Amino acid sequence: MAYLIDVLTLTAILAIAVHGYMLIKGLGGMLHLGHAVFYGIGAYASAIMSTTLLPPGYFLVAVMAGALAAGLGALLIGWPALQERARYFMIVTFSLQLIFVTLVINLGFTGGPDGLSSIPRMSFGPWQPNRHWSLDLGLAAIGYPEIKLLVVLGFAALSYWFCSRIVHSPYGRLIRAVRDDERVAEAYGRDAMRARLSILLIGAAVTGMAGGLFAHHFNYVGPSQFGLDLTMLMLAMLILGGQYSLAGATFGAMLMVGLLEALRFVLDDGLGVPFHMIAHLRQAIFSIILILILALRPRGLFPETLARYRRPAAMPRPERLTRRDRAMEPPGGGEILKAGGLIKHFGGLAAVDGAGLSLRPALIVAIIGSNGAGKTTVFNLLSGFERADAGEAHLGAVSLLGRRPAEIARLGVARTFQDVRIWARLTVIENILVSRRHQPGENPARLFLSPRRVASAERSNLEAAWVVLERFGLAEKANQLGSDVSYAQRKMLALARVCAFDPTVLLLDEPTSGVDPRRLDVFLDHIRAFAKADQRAVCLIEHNMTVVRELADWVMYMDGGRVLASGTPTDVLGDDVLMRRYLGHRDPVVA
Amino acid sequence: MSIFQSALPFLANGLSLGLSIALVALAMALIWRVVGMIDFGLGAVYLVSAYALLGLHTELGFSLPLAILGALACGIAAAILIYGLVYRHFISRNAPLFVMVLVGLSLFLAGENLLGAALSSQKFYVIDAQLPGVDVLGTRLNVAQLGKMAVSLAALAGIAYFCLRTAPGTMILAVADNKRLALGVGIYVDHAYVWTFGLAGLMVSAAAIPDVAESGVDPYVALNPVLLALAAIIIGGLGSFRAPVLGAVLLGLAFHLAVWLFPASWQEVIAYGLVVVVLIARPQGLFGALHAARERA
Repeated sequence: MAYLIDVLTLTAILAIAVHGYMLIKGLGGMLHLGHAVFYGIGAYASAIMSTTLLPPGYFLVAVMAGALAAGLGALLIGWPALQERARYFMIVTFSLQLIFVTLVINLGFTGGPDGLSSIPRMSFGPWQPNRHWSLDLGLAAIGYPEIKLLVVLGFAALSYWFCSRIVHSPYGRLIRAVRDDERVAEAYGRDAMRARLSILLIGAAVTGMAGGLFAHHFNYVGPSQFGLDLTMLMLAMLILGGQYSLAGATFGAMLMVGLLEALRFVLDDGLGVPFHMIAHLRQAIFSIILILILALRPRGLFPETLARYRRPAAMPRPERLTRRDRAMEPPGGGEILKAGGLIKHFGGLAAVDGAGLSLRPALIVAIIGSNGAGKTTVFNLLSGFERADAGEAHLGAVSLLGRRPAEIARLGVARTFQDVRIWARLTVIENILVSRRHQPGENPARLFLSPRRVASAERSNLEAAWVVLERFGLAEKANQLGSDVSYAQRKMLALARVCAFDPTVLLLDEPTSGVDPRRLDVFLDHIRAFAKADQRAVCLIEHNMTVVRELADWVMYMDGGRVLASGTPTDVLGDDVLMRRYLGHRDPVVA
Repeated sequence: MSIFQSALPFLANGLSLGLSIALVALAMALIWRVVGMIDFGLGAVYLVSAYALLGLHTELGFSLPLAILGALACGIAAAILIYGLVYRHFISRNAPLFVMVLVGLSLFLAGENLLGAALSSQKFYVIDAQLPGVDVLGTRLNVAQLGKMAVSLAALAGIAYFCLRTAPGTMILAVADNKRLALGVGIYVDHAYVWTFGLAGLMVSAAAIPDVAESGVDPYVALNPVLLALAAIIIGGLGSFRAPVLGAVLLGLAFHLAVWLFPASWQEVIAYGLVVVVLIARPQGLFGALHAARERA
């Protein structure tokens, strides 16, 4: 019985650590191979607090110190490791995992190779139990191990609630969007690096808390407890349960411990395998189990749970959006965005060589030109995705060049991408929800400090999202994954998403390419409405001359990174010399 | 004694270690460029050839040269088998890099622990006698160390020759450069993979055998070579064949010079600390740009 209680206590502690792993790897999508480091930092910090710094009775403070230390560790690791180079994150965390054990052995305050022993038992203020403490309840007596189990279970429940709140919040949704495509998240004004770093910090803190509990459960911490083996064990738990599901992370930990304990029982009692072999065999077998899970069920037992949204019974009329949250009001009728002398070289090639443009509210400007003319690069320069070598670009009085994509987006310049790039593992309505600005629920601290405000903002966000979906004819598809809708619907979703962002200036990169000609009119109506009804400045890159003729108020022809001609559609498309140059020797096709 | 003289033994040991790591690093770099995975399973291959040498020589009584040949063959076979039985399944399903890394690591850990369970963690020696050696510039190098350097240099040259001058070598390089195009022009990618893993198995065995002859074998003997090889390709980069080799030599030197300057217990911290610094300061490696055939990240 005592053994069972011990195993259950350890399982609950490991489940908390795996919750942290789920936040980092599953929700955040970071390829993290050093989870035992965060667990170890938490355990050591908490142990040092309890053995040297705190008087007895401050168990909770010591555990929180463990969480804090691990969060700090995550900040120190994540700050350099996530800067533009998240792709090396796996190797960085793996290297740190390898360093950690040696580092701990070499440091003085960690107790070196001997570790730290005599860590006090869990205690709360004046209640400081000794080994023989027990509470007689008449039918049965409760001893310290039972109380410890209850405390740890309480922590596990708390961790589940906390992580679940994170996962199912606007913040969790944003983290999933960043996981799917961080560049697009930046195009919608979000700081992807900050999002990643924050979830790493939260995940590490949860894990550090588990480490603190472990130190007080085991009453000893030593370097060998936090090696690569432990990281692999936690990964096996996470992957077995399902890395995208919190319930999966919890059951994965339980199942794996159950499996390993059963194995111990079979090997020891059943087959009489000598004691020194059992640890090795258990390690070998769980490694093999991990390979089998990865081969047979790589997504684990529990799938990612997606929120399903119910369409409101009384839908507001699908009118255009109100424009109250606009970051910058366009000056009446004048230029809102002006760029000139833009230059961008890639190696020896001048992709953009002195191009410029000017955009006004309610006006649609189309950029035409053959592939490689520099059209998309102009968009990339204006939206901050590429740095210009020279030139200037202003939104009102604010200079755009040199700013990061997220900053430019927040100023009110939104763009779509040639290759659609919707968040494929978010549902259609979630794509819209993430795109909308000013969401207090995207701040993880507010989720817990002002939950009412977050809930009410989310309600109005949801209402507005349904309006957008109705407007773009996507309401029926609201709860389908982005990857599961058709190409034309994804194209439409890209328009809906940019509309939900409510920008001042819209840069649309080939918004109708690949769309069935029979549905083209619907797209044209929406783009026209952006300018004429919503009064936004619209600039689009287009190869379809019908679309240009139908939509554009002004046409720019680009070639070799320069604007060779501009004028009304009739002027430019009617210029035979230009059109021959653009389309070869054929006459312009008006389909 | 001048500073140079006191550093000399460390330099010699560093060079010897560096050249030995270079073989494993090159195997890892080759697999990364052709298949697009970081293969920790090479640790299992290392163990197979190490224990094969031990078994063939001390248990079955094979002469040392014959045992070495046998161990090389076992290493090659193990690498190809691991590909055929395990990796092929994941590669054909386009498993992401993270999954491939986990599979390789799990294989390695499984191998390590199965050996630990079956043969205990005890260290066994292949050659019991003290190895003869020569004095070079005031430091003593034994036959295994010299052999290690010679074998590494010969193997590195041999690999370069194989890849550049022979038909299977060219096939491997073609797949490394552009897998789709290689498929398009009728190269059977599976064959290229078998050759790649076979070649990697050979290189790893060539690193394992002199190591084991010099310092014996236990289940944990593969850990350092494999992890240092990974560190070497991170430090060196993957731009060319030279880059991982230079990275390995640099790392080998750093690893041993660290002992000259700091307490021995800081060796690993310094080696992997170097990795982290390089990753943060110059992620493409010191000697070339990262140019993966098929990056799965």
